[in-house]
Amino acid sequence: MMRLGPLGSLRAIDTYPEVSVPTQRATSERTMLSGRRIVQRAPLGMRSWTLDYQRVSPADLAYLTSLASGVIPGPLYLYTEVAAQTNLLPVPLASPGAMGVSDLRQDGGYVVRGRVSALLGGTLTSQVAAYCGSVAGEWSPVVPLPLGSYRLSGWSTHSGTMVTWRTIDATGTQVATGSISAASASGGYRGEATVTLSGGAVGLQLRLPAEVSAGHAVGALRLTAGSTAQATDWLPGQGVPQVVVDDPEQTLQLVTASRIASDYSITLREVR
Amino acid sequence: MTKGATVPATRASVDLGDGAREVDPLEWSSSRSLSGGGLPGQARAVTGSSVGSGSLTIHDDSGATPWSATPPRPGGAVAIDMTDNLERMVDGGASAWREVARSRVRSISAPSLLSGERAIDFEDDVPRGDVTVPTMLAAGSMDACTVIDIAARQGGYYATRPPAATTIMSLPLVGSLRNEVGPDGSSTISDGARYGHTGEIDAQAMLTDSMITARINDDLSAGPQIHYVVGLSTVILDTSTHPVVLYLDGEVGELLRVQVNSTGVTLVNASTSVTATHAMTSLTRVEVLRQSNRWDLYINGSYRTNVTANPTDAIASVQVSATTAGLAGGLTVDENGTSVMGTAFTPNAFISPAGAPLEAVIGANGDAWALIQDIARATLSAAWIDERGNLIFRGRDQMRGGPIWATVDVLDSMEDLPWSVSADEVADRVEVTYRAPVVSRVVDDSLTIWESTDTVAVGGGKTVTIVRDIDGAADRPASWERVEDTGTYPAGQKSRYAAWTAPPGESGSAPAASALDVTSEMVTPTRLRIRIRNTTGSTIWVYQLTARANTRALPGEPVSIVSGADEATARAPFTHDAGSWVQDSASAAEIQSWLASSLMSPLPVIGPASVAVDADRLLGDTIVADVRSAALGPDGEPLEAIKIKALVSGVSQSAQAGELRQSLTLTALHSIERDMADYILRTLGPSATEADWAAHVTALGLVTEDDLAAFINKGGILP
Repeated sequence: MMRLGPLGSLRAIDTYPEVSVPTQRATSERTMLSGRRIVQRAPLGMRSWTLDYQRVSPADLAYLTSLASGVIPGPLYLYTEVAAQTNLLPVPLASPGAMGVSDLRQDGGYVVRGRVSALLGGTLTSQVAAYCGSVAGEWSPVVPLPLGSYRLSGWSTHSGTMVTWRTIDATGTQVATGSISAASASGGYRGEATVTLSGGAVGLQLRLPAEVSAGHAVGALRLTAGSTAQATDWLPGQGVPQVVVDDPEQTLQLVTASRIASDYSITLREVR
Repeated sequence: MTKGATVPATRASVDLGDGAREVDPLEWSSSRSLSGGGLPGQARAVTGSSVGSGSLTIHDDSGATPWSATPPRPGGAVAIDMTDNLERMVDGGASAWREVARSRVRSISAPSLLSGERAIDFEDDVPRGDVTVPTMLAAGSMDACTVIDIAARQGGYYATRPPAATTIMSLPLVGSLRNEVGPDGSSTISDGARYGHTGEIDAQAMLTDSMITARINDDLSAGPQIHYVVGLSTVILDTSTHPVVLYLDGEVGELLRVQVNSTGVTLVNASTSVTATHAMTSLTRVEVLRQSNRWDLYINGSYRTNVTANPTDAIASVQVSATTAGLAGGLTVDENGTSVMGTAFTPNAFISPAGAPLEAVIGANGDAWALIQDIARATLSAAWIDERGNLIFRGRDQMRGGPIWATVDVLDSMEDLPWSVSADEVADRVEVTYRAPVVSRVVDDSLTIWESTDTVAVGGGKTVTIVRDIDGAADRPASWERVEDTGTYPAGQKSRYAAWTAPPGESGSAPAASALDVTSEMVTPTRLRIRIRNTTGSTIWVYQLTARANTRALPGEPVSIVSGADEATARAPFTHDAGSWVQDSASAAEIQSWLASSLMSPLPVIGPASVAVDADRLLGDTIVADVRSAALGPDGEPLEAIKIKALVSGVSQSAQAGELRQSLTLTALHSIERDMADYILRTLGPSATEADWAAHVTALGLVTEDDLAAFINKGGILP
């Protein structure tokens, strides 16, 4: 299941297998005299989702069509069940500093990348993380979410306050806030807590706390839907990306006095 | 070295007429290349000049067109930074961006009226505008780079602090002791002043190894309400043992000594001394402020400490002394000048000596950048605007190979390294032409600089102005006397005029001395302006004018130094005209012998090389291209290991998403004496003897002179 729409009104849309999700990441390659290969990659990869519908009526796709034609103003966000079960945080927030990009910044906008040990596939693995500063960091970009309960977890190099969260309404005003503390777990330090979006809350923001001691780094963050505790294993970020909805490609299959049926193909493209 | 997998990133800001703003570029390209030096490709040096240019494509969210309320306008600033690996940058901290360009928008275009895409062409901002170089006749105390400094300052590029409204004395000390404000400096060593540069890339030409005196004739004791600031805007030190010293002297003796070495600054007066420690390794500004009862020390504009003013005499003169290890620049005295402390100064011109001592500067004016290019070409130097937007001028000794900046592993970091050897660029006759000026000096105003026997009629009460170009250059013309007045001065002294109350040949008489008021001045070093005012009521005819001065410089006849075939049989002669920017035979001979050594036999030329991106490779860097031994030869046998010393004479870079490309133009350089000295020091230690060297050569298997030459040729002595 997917939810698609502007901030605060993520609405369920029907999808059918197979949805292909290719990722586009700009890259180039050069070969040196010695045969050494150098690959350059863009820091961000962008996904797209192609949804196919067969013999459905225009009423079934009225919402998607109006998103595509701009009837419902954007920006539009795509909430997928895949992300809800794996990790609703985008890559630069789930793994701050991945490919040099971080949505978790220190006060003043600084990004300093460190490492944190987190359980990945059952093995304690060193991953990218963001260093905390002497004061609390800047709030991250908003992760748009439907109302409900979520579990937020993360890994840290130290015990103590690991990350601060807040939910905000459509005007950016804080609705609720809280912090998560890390405690010793599986050879590292991990913290997890429930975050609930209620009332007018439309999204979640995170920020780095003031460091508990020198070299305090935080990473491997994970946000899942529901209030069930997560497994200790970390999973990579899928995010709730901003998307553009391409105009539907329509193949008319049947037009009678009582019924219209068409095949549709609609592509959603991630933007940032 | 670049890692195999990298995440290149760029950031840019551009001002399209509505203020500088950050933009996310779609793509950009930038290139810098030294050219125009007129040297064949195989010459073992780079000269000339570079004006960087490039293009930047952005998406303009405002969508402004030329018909909008705030239309996009060219002329704004463009800044592009890059990193070859964003990952490494965030691991290392937030400040690892490397500058690509600090440039100016030349043109803006859009592919469509409906498109937000803007293609921006940019070009470096070189010093522009007319510049007049004043008459400079200071024998032995000038280097050609002083003219570069004058032109650079005219264009807003400052190697030392520019004068403020409060400045009563300013001597840049870049290549000369000339004043910018206040009195000229004078050197106390017999052969004039000396100029040097540090081994660092941020070289400045400054006074070294001599002492200058700059006398302040004003009374600087006028009381506690007037605060004098005396300081050096730029102090560069190599080692701690030899300080730069600034002496502030009164009429009868020393008032204060300011000693600067690499650990800090010490203020010394007759009764006491205080020291302020400060890391002085970079370009540092040091100033002292005279208060009513003490001297305050400021380092880089911040107050540090003070010492009692004792005795409290007026400052009568200021002296600077530096050693070969220390360089000083920008001697300034400010009156009531505490305001200058608040103005941060960062040099944006780095000017090294051209290695061409000048007797005199004759008739130098014109466009600032054209003048800089002309001097760079004549003295085999190079001038360019670098990636940070600074003006760089490097003399020929640096362009033949400065300190080796990096060793580049060719196999691992270059896509290829094409080379060629051609007989086309070989010269069988090398001729260097220079002009030494004839500088004459007297003290009795007896040197004639201009003469006229044309008749000039000056009407009653009228003023006639005559502007004439003189032959050569002169300093201040002498005051004017009548030809008849020989009582005080002989007829051969002073500027003279002859006048008659009627047209010459008709009946009349010589007018009284007070009848004509004649004054004159040099408009430019080579242009004389004479004003003749008739104070009587009737016309007077002036039929002879002779302007005289104490110092006169005439352009000398061209002198040529030649080697190789004679003129009749030479088939490929090479001529280098150094014009008036090389004025001594020693410099000319050095240029000639060096040109001959690199032009008289075929030498390899390296083509443009596409390299793995390294943001640290800058135009003008000297690098060693290291081709380590590898099984790569065309016959399958291991390629012999070689090292090539080369200067980066061109850098071009381009970027788009996920791709950053860099291509270097390399000019091969000869190994110079210093490389050999470094090699001996590195391999045999500081106390090596001739016997040690002989044993070392034998151990290397070098039997003949040719063996040693081959060893050097393949870079055996390079690090």
